Amino acid sequence: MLAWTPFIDPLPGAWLHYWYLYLLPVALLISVIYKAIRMHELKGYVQAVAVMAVQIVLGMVGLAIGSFLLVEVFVRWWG
Amino acid sequence: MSLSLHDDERFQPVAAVLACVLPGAGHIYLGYLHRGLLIGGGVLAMFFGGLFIGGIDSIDSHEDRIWFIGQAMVGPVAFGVNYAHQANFKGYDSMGRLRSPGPNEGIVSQPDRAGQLRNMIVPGTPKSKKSLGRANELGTLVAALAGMMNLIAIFDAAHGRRRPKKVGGGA
Repeated sequence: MLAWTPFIDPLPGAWLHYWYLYLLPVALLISVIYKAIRMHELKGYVQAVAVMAVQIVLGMVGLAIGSFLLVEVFVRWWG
Repeated sequence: MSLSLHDDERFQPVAAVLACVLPGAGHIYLGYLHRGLLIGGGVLAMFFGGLFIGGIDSIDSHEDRIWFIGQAMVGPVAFGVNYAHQANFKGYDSMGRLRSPGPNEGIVSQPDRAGQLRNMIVPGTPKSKKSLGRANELGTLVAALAGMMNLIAIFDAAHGRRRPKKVGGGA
């Protein structure tokens, strides 16, 4: 068995058990880039990034709940 | 740098090219050092984050061409990683197909039928593990997201990014 080499091999399976937590750094980085592009002044940048990252995470949680309800509740109810 | 309505908002070809070459370089060229560093750092962190999750197999212009179009927006870095992947971690099988080696296959450079030196897949141990399932999905997606974010930065740098100042400073 080969040893894990970062950036060459994929993450070991155990690191992907809570794969959905990778949403947090991705949401943060998207916010960092987007706010750096869009803000007219960088005053209040950190707060704006934090707010946008939380909005993304809440939006994704909302989509997950909506998808769950659609598949597990409504489709079964209609079926 | 003063910001006033439409006075400097014009096409900036040099900034656009620099933004394509290195994420954030277009904004740095325009005088926005901090923005450029934040954009460049963010895009590269996302790209290499995808590489960290999915391994080098998540950057693949042959097997994941559509995704690579998105990843390519990061610039020469993406093409370099893809070249390293194709040249060092993939080989030709007995059917003449370029692919990643399986669990019990390795790569050796040897001449093909035409006498040209090529990476050939032979029984052995691979240099890297094939990225499959969720690791591959996440790695490919995050690296492609980095390219999409840099595309926005390229357009922004190309338009000079000199907008009128607004009260509140938000998006």
